[in-house]
Amino acid sequence: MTDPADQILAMLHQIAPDVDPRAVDHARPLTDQLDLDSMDYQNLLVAISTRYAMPIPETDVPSLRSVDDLAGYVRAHATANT
Amino acid sequence: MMESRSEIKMPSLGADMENGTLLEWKVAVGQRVARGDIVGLVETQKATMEIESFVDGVVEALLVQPGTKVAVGTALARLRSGGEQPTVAPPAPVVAPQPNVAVQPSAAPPPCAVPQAERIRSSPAARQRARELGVDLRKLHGTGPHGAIVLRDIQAPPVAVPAPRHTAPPTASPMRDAIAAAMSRSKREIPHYYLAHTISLKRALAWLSDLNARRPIQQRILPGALLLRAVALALWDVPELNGFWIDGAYRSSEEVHLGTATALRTGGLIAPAILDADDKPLDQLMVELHDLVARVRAGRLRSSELTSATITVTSLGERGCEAVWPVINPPQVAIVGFGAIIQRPWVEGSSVVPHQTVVATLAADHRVSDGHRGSLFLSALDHLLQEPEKL
Repeated sequence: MTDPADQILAMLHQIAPDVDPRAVDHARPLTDQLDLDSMDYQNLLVAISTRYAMPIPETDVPSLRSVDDLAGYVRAHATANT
Repeated sequence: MMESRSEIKMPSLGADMENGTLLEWKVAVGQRVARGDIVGLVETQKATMEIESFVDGVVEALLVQPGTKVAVGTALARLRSGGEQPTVAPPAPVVAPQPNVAVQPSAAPPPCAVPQAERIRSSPAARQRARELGVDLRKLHGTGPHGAIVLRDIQAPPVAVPAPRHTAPPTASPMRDAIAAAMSRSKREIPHYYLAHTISLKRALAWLSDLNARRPIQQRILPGALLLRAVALALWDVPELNGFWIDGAYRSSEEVHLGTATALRTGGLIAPAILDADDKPLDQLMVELHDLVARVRAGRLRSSELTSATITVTSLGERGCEAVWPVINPPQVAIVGFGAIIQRPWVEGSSVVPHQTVVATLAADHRVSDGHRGSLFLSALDHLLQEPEKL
């Protein structure tokens, strides 16, 4: 599997074209460093869920805050890697 | 059959917008268009927006060339409607705008011969930066999605491009100018009154998380959509908050077009409308909110969304502070604000328990309504949110 972090940052860039992926700190919560609103974040989760054919239950959402969180979740749960 | 002609004009995003720049035509002379079709792309102080046709017809003439800045109300294209046959006349040439309608050429007008198909993919922020620096986007290599030119591609003017003639002061941004003009006018002309009401969201959020637990994330409903739905329905009880003050008189609106204030990370904000929000069930409202925010980010709003809001809602979001005292967006007559959803002590029977709560505020125009009616609106909003299953 290619590093999901790169894919996640590419998806983030689609949702927030003004964000420079190279400036994102992978360990920090995305909403803290990027001024994403809840709708942007929801759009990112939907993109990740769709891309990896991976359901993200509501109960898991609060624990998915940083690129590292998201990449770890993808590695553990992804069923598609196109 | 009777034919009639109509013009597509440079729309106004508000009384303080003076001009806009035609970026691109999406139609050609002789082409048939239906009501609602996107015919072109316009850049204004506040946003790039898609211009829609308001009639069914055939494009008879394109009156303004891409790259031209024209005053609000200037005819951009002429349509012929009612005729059975598409035009057989030779296509009218694209003519330069009349000198009296052209406000001023853009800083770096592109040559008139740019074919429509070669429009450069670029983000609104990149275009703005390029204008400030006098950079020609066509000479850049984009590193964004599908080769789009994004902000980082515009670091400095390429050597071949002369330095900009003047350096803009750091505070000057067209977006900020537009907000300043509209809000100054609002505070000057509208006698605002303000009300606040703290609403328990315990039931609403419990209902929502139960609903979301049974759904895939693609169909998850955010609290913001629930609040919008409640606002749209509460307006039925107090319709005098929904409409416009124009030429010294109130004009109520039958439709509820909810302007949703959305902050732009590049600075400023914009409030495109969800049309007929009171007719749309919660699921559809959520889908449209998704779509709207995505298109705000991409700079792809439609003219009808930017010009038709009958009332605005502003939400500070989950990291915001507890209350907002918003300023009415003229010619609207009211604006509803929501602070962040915060846990507060709440009296339930004879005990104090923690509840998730939100402070809902209303700023409204005293020429049209008063505090008593405004209170009824916030009470109606509260009642609706205590019965979320009915939303």
